[in-house]
Amino acid sequence: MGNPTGFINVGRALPTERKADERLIDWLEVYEDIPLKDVEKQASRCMDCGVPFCQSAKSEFAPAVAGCPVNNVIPEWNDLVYRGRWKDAVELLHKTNNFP
Amino acid sequence: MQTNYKLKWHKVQNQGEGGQLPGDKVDAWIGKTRGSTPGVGLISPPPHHDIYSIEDLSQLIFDLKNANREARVNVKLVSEAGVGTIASGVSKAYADVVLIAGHDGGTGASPLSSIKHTGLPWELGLAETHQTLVRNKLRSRITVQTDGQLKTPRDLAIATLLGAEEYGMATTALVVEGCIMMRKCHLNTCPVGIATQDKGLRDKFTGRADILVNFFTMMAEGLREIMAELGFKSIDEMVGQTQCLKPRSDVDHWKYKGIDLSPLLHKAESDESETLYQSIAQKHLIDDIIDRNMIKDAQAALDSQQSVELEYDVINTDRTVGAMISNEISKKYQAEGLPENTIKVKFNGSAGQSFGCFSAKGLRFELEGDANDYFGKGLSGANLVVYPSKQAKFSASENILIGNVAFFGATSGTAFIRGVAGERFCVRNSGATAVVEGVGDHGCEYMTGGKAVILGSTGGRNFAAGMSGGVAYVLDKNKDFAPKCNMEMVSLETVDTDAESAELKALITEHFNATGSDVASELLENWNNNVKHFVKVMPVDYKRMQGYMNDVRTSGNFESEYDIAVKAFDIHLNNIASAKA
Repeated sequence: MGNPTGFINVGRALPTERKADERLIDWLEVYEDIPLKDVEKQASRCMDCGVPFCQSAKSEFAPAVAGCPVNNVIPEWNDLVYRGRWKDAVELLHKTNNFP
Repeated sequence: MQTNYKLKWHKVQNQGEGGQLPGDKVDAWIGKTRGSTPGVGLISPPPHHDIYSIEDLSQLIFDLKNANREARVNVKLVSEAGVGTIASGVSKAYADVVLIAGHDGGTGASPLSSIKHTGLPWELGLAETHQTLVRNKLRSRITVQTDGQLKTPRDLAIATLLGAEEYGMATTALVVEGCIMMRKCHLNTCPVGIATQDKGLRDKFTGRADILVNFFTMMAEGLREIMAELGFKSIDEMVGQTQCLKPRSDVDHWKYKGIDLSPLLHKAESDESETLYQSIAQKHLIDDIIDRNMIKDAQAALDSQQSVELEYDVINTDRTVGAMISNEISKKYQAEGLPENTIKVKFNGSAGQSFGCFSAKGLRFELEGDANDYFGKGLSGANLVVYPSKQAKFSASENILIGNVAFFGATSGTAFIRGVAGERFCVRNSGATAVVEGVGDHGCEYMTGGKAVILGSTGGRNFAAGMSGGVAYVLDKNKDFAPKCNMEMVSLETVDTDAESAELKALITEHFNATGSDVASELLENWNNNVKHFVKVMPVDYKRMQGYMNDVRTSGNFESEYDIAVKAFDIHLNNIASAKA
């Protein structure tokens, strides 16, 4: 975990949504891009929980049980993103997830 | 409410590793409670330096029993093969309670390796302990407790049937209060405000006392229901009734094939005269000790702070002299104690172990003779003076006068010893001032505060290992001290300033006045020349923090020592931050 006090120092920031009437006429992303630097900052808010509810679940029970259905190692990418190691983060993602 | 002293003889979470509190986490408040300097790391020694054998443990139990007669002494052991034998020893050492800790416990912030690879399930250790104690006719003398992830009334029922009459629940209680097992207890960032000193995070704490009351009531209620089902009217009746347990037959995992649980479920039968639960109080041997007389004779001082002077003969079976009267002083006057030297006591003879143990402020013990191990252990403000018998023909400065582990964990007070001390002198001293004429191996280890003046050889090696605070002045006439000192955390300096020289001189003068030491008188005769022979052992971090504190103090903006410490710690953190940037 990059920054233990990240969640105290950095406030939560969500991406803005595009206007609904714009979204009606195309199939593009709902959310607007946020600058990479801001994403890295947000990644520092990950608390690296002892029991990571974002990640761990028995896949046979997913999504009934909280957690990622394919057991993505979310806290690990958060850390890599915080450190700006995007390439490593993507490789780690592909270990558990076969979407392009 | 029953007071308990728990001796964690084995620490489940970090067995053999000890604890380390890095300097930048020791803020002014922690420094104050731990009797150390903020900004300076604290090393908890992995072993107890006063317990290396079962006899040592027995002595420590005796010390604690003297220090507080009402409290039960509880010895915590890790569940492992052979724990029954250790528990028998603990029972023979007159502990009131033995606690068998299982491997599941300690989920807080301990390293993963320790969580996964230390200890055994409490069931194994508990069954062994109970059976061994019953077989050796010791079970009725000691209460058996167990802990390690007990979560349901069913766990309690199994623990009782295997031989425990008391239980510990910590993780469960924390979860009830809101703990979400973040495993961040060591980082000060607990997001639910339990294990943190951060004001903002503490405000997020949602636990309430009545939730806990509910939880424990329901646990007891659940246990009562199981007891009713089994036909037991009391816990005492239920302890050790293993016939009520049987292994589950529906576990068909291949790993469980070939496991034989019958030794675990063996029922130990007691003699007619014995019970399967604690029914006889331990004999603590504290009824006929010097302190009882001392309390009687010093009643005027205890009641109305009048000065008294007393004299007693002492022999080496008189152990832990001074602890019980200190308990009386602290009960009435708390940590403040009595005015200095209110109760002056002269002892003649050879004192037993733990002379002056936990002695409170207001006491002055003068011992003509010698003393055994643990001299001045946990010294809490008293003044101790020792010199050899006036008839003795040996040279005081060349002979051992007090035993090993003197001033272990002392927090305040002074001591003047005309003679040499044994090994591990001043270990974990955090505030006492001691003058002595030589020490053995491992002197001043883990010291965090106070002063040690050594007017002679440090004998062995490893001086000042892990010493994070305090100062030691060593008289090094033969220039052979440096190789014996452990230089990991300290630097060697000389006594430079006049103020420091005067302070040291005053201490040695006091030593001379109290004990008539010939070493001291020789030194004082030609002080300005002799002071050059002193080596000052100064912990590096401690020196840096003292510098900050001096700066803050001379700025004159702060009055209380605590505010000065807070400000100095801020400067320390700022300096670290700017060094990183």
